[in-house]
Amino acid sequence: MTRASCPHHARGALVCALLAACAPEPVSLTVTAQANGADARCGNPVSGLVGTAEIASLKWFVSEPAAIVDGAEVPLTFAVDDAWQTERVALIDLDDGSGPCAAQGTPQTNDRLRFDDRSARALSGDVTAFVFTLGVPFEDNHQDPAAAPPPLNDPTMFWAWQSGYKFVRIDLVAEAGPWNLHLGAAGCASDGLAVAPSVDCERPNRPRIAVQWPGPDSGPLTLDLDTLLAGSDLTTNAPGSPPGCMASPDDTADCTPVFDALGLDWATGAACDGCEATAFRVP
Amino acid sequence: MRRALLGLLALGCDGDRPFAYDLPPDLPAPVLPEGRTMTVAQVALGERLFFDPRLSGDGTIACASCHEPRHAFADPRPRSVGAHGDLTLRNSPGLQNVAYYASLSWASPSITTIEDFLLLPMFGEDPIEMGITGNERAVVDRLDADPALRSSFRRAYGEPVSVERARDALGAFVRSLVAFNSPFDRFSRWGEPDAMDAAALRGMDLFFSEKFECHHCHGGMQLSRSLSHERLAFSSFAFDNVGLYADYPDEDEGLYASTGREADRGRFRPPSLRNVALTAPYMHDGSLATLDDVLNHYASGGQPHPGRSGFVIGFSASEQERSDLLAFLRALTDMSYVSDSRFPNRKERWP
Repeated sequence: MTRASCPHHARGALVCALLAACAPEPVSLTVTAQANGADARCGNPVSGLVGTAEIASLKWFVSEPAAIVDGAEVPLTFAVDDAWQTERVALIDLDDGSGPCAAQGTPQTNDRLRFDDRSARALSGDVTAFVFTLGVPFEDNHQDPAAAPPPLNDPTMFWAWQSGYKFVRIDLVAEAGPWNLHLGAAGCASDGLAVAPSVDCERPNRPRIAVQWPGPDSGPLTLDLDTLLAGSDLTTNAPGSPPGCMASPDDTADCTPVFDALGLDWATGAACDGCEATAFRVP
Repeated sequence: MRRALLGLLALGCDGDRPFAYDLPPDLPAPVLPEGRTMTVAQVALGERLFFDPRLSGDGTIACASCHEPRHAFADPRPRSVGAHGDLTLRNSPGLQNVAYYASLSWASPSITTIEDFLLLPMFGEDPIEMGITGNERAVVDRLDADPALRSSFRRAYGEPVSVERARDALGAFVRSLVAFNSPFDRFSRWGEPDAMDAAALRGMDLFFSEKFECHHCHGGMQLSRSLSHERLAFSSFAFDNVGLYADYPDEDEGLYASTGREADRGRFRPPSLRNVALTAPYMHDGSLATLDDVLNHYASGGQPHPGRSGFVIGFSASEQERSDLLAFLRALTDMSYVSDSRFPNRKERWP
């Protein structure tokens, strides 16, 4: 059968029931973030190893989705919606532009990953895990955002052609000043910042993360800010480095604990041996 | 007779021809306000009116009196002077690519179309800028007395001269003002690797670096985070406090005037840096005379203010770095945009 939906003229209950199998129930996953035992929202407090701060931005890219179905990894594709998702890149945006988020945010938010019909069909077996890349794939990472489709044209999530997108943007306002996590690729080589590199960056900083399949029983895909920041001192910034962790090579002290929680090796920007991205969990 | 008729027909066609932008490959066009169309004839009429002092209440100043083409349509005075001598609250900025801003004016989140914005300079009474309010009849009579203008209105709208159509035509003209031919554009968007010199290339790297943090507020195709275009799912509004004052003067506290929120005191829209080398003086109130002064301000981290942006944290720059940064800022100048030939109506008609 090739028809994707039940045609209008299909009147008989049997026919419709048969055709309904071709138009599967849409599949989507809810995504959330938690901090201090509550939903992470603009203005809510987060705690680090030392110090507390308020959330002033909270957005990240999820890409190259896949599921473990009947024990095997099956690639999925997002439903393109001209706002939050291309086929392989989605933006989670929990920043509603209120309170301290007003400097960067817009009122529009997105807390769902929505998959296309083909993916929904692929999810018909025993689905145990959700696998995704935190960030933007190399092939999409170094384009001109002005010419890119949404959500890759969000101006708050881009550095420059050479360095590409901010994979994760968590802006915090602490008493002592800003503390930001801007995760992105580092060590990208090209003939200048306005030129895209032809090979991937020395440190891709793009973790591949697997979690239990989120759902009504298991709970939403959750970014746990308590875990993410458990090793971070939010009251000080390593001298001479950008405020917080911006993933630049001189930011070792501020970045290492965060990278650990994302399952990344700070030195290489690749997945570290035997460690896990503990900051993401279900629930 | 027959020739005249053909001429009229040709004009009629011209009047309906939609305006088309000349943009770099793949760049999105600005968004048109709901229900608005934009024709070549409207843009042409708007251009005539922009340079015409007869549009002001007392016939003394034109839009171009405070938006001078050779300064990329900015005013070289810190504040502009209205028809009756009133000083504007803020510096009149350059006008290239204003159609790509999420919001118009320095700090008004609710003004999202050029046509709405135009109500302020045309009809505002505090301060009086063009001073049309109360003088509508006189303005229309003055414009209507010019047969060429009268037929331009006919061509663009099929209607007689009116102040409302004048505003619409000015909206079309200002929206048509795009500039994408700076060395930076030619280097990054038109594929000309030699368009920028070595100093500007070094400056570009500094501009987009986490040391200087410029790009957080002045990034993207507009070099401003305030952005709207046809492919953006949502406009990206932006207002920042850059610590220009520890205590902003009561007469102008920026976004606070619109929202009443304490955190919005001193927050203004980050201006696009396109043509910035031509648009001195700088900042919302024109209080910094040169780009050097602006660099000094950001190097110092600005005045302490509770609402100051987290990206204004100060830096120390070597002489070389400073001159490289300035070279990059100069590489944002589109000389073709300010050339005499681009605006045939500018003449020397305006004071």
